[in-house]
Amino acid sequence: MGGWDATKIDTAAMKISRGACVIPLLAVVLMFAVVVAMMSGAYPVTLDGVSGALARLWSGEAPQTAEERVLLSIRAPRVIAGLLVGAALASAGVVYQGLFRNPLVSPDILGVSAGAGLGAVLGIFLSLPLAAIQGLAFAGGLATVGLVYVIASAVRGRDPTLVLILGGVVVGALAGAAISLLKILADPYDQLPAITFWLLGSLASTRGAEITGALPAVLLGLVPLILLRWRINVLSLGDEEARALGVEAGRLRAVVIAAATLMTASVVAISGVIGWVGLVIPHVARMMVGPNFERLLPPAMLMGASYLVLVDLLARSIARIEVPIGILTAIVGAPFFLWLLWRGRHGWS
Amino acid sequence: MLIEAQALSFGYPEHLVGHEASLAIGAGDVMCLLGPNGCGKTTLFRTMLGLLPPQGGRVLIGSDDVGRLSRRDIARRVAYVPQAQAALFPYTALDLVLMGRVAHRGLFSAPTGEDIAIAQRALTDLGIGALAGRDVTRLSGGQRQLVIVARALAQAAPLIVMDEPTANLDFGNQVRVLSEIRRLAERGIGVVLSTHDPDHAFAVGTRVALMHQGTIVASGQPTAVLTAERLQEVYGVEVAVEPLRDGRTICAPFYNARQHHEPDHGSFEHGADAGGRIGSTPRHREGEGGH
Repeated sequence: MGGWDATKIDTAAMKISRGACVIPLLAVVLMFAVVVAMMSGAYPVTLDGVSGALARLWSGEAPQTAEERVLLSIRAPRVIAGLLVGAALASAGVVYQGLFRNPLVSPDILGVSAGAGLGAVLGIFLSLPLAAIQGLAFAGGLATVGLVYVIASAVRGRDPTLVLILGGVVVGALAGAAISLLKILADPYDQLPAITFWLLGSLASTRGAEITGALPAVLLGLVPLILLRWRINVLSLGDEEARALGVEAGRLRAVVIAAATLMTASVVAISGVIGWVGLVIPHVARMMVGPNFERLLPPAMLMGASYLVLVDLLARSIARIEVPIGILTAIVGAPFFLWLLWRGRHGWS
Repeated sequence: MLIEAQALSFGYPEHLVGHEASLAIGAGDVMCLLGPNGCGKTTLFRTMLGLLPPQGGRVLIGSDDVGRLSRRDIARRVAYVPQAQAALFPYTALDLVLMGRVAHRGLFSAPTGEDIAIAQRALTDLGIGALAGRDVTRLSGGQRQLVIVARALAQAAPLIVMDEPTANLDFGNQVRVLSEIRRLAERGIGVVLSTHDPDHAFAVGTRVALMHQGTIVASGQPTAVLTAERLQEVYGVEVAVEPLRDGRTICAPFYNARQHHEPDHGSFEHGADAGGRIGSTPRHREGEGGH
């Protein structure tokens, strides 16, 4: 069929090859971020010190020096939490933006953060121990999204993704109102600061136990997304086209939402609400490898992990006090997002 | 028969769009569905594809009721080319065509080398092999339409349903898409398409169904169905339908004549009147294909 200018070079091949070298590059960046984060802090440690402590951990010996104890019981859990939270939020964001066909969607869209926030605030308000607060946050996140899903399923004859988003906004607003009420009722000297810090997110108090608690849930959410990642592409064409292509769109969407919610709720439970990661990182990843979810998920995970480790490093080193990480992700994320808009490319690339 | 609609009522429980539609399409058929805006062509297609439940009658794909088939089974038997819409994601053309292979692969699979070869061949067959690596957001409307047709080819179904495949295309691209449809039929693929242009039905249709206010008022050979009187009745404008010397037929509207008023787009209940007004012709004449 002549007449069409079809002489452009094969950009698909370019994208694939770019995608192929993006992964090692991002892996190197991640290693670098982890090493720097392990070395720096109130108690600086040399590279030798880090490798010595890790070697001792590997051989199963107990830490010997104070330095090693700081590294293994405080800093390492914090860095690992950063990896986990960043990777989970970025993957949930990337899958939601495709699923809801909207570049402004973040993992919070169905109310998981609002619900988790309500659970945690309730736990703080009742002066429960930390583990119970985290458990309530996790349950609150799951319950909120579950409620939104049930509401959306009850509404028939409308675009199901639109109904889900509207349901998420409404239920999220309700949870926000309940949080505000609890803040007013809370003890202003003891509970209110704890609530405020929790809602701004922090990895400061993360220890090994939290990580071993959240890790299985994150993996349980991540594995289906990785396995289904080619098929998830089809959902981004909209329900009708997906069904005509042979995909049970409603069922696949339910699985994807469940997986993303499980991941997000479990990391929000240990880190508090950290915004912007799930919104910005997917855009950067798409700029590098294109929208094909099959190639998009691994770089998004790596990038989210490095980003959060580095921002957390910033949070604990730029000031004498610990800056809540949610404030920093917003300060970094918002101008970056504006820059994306300003570049004026069609939102998705 | 690849697909058969039997006395099909379609639409929504609270709003019936059409009823008593009967169609049958076999291998190598090109069935053109003609009718004014809003007469229910898209709703009929969606019902035939099992995307909407029938409100009466039934749809058979192969010999199975559409309601009993999984989405995967339907997709392996019927491919769908929906009405053209703007591309949202900058997928490459090849990535988009590969999505036609989803029904042939397992739940957790990624496209295989064979899938990539099939997708590339589908693009090449439509003369757009060189576009494989281009972002679909950067293609012209006509190119994108052909990419979607290529996706339907990659789906490797014996039947393709196309909803206004020539809408929004320039003249040359319309001719290209229609030529492709003809070639598909020569390869034994059944095609159902809706169009607004009677000339398209004359050009590629082996059979035509003319729809008006939710009912199929006539179906059969293009030249038998698309008479000047019937087109006038359905569209409310005066036309001449003339045979050309080489055996083709064309439809030419009169632009200066005082046009009939808009045909009655009243409520569905008046559909029978519309059929009645067509007068001397039987309201629904099923073509030679039969059931």
